[in-house]
Amino acid sequence: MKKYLSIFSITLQEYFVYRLNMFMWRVRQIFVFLLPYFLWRAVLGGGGDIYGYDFGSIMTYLFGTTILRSLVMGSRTVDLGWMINSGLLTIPLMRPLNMFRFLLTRDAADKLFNLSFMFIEIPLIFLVFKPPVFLQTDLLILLYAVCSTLLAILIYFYINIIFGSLGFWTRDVWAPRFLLMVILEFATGAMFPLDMLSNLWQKALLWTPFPYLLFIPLRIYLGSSETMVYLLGQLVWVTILSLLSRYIWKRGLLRYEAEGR
Amino acid sequence: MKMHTLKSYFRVWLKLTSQQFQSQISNARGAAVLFILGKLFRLSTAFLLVYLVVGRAKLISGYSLEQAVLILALFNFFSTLTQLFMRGIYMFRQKVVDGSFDFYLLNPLSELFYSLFSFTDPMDLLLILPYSGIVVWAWQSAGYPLTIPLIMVIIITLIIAFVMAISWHIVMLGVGIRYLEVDNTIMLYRDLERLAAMPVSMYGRWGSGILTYLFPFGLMATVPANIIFGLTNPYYLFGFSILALLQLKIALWYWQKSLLTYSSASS
Repeated sequence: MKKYLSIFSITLQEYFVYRLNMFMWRVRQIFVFLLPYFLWRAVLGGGGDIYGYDFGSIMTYLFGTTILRSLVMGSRTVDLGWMINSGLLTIPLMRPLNMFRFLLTRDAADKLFNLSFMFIEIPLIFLVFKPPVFLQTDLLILLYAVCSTLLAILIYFYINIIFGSLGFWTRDVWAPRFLLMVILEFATGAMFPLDMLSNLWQKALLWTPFPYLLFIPLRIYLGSSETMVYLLGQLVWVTILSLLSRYIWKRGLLRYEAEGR
Repeated sequence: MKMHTLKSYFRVWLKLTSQQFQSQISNARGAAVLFILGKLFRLSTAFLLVYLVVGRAKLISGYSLEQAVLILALFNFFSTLTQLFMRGIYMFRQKVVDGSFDFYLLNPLSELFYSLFSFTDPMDLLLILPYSGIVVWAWQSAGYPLTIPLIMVIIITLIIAFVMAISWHIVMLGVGIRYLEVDNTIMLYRDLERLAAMPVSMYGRWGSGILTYLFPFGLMATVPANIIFGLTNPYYLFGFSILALLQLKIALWYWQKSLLTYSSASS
């Protein structure tokens, strides 16, 4: 356990080496909020609703996705493909570490870093834009939302392992990752709530793991009547992706040549 | 700058770009296809968002669905065109950190030219054709005449926006030299750029002012669109030209100052 705590601490320290870069990264997190905020303010700021969303509910959704995105989709495992291609993976492989735990520890440090900065950024956004946001007070629903977020974190972690492991077979890990990022932006509901799409599209997307990263945890937070079905869906995806990532990882390790080391 | 010097720059750029193309064709054909797919998918989802939101709300900041679609199409075209030439900025930090920036300094052509224009993306170059087709389609769908004088005005706007974009890229390179860290500064610039995919009047007086006069983003979509819609007088472009030249001068001054701090540490 102690060695993982050291990895956790070192990962956190790494962020503070290049401070300007770190500062710009945090500023970017605020800008991620701005485009959709102004878009929805222009459309709904004067009153009315579209697709059942008024300004208050869309702001709650937007705030929720901004926070969840930092927590769920902030990850260091996105480096995995590069680690494999550069041969850097050799270093943790030679150490008495469980690779998945090593990567999960680095992810946890990343998420703690994001969470701590959110305590500054979220009040700042509130102070400047004063968005009308719904705060959930039902403790049971909050508990379900926390569980759902944890499951979303695991789903994203395994997706990253699978995509990172492509580095065992190809040097072009950036292109599939770019495609994944573009798909995630749409299919997680980060761009707009997925229930604005037709029923057919919504149902089709729910057969993929992507809506379970942002859209579903937010639905649960807002008190959906289908919470248990959604949580079960997340559990199923965690199981499938965990098994798949372990299988791909084992096959990939057999091909690893520690190139460049 | 003399004509033969310009020719030298063009020949070197052509050589570097053809090498990039050859490298992609021989090493990363699959990756290139995935990149193109990703970019087309991203554009489709952006259009879907405009269609879903503006289509239902009827108006956004005073613009109709057809006008908002044209603004998005212009933004996509302008943004791709300015970005495709300046891909070198993404590799710049590594060059400064490992000292290979020294080789740019030793070359007879400008180190800024190599830093910015060395990595023109041929895939983006291929996408420009369908993107310009989308602009023409959106232009005609919005019901505005596609005349030669208007096209000329749009090209002039593009040149001014390009000069302003180059200025900002030079400033970011200067930041890279001074602080050895520039990646998130570039990404922040790109995040700001994305704000221009919608009419900039949406961001209020201050917001639209910053995006139009300080950054080139207003000039990438809303200003040319307003000229097409007859909402902005094309003579304003004279003012923008002066502003662009001023920005370029300041950026070059900052670059020269930053260059003095380069220590060639790792070479």
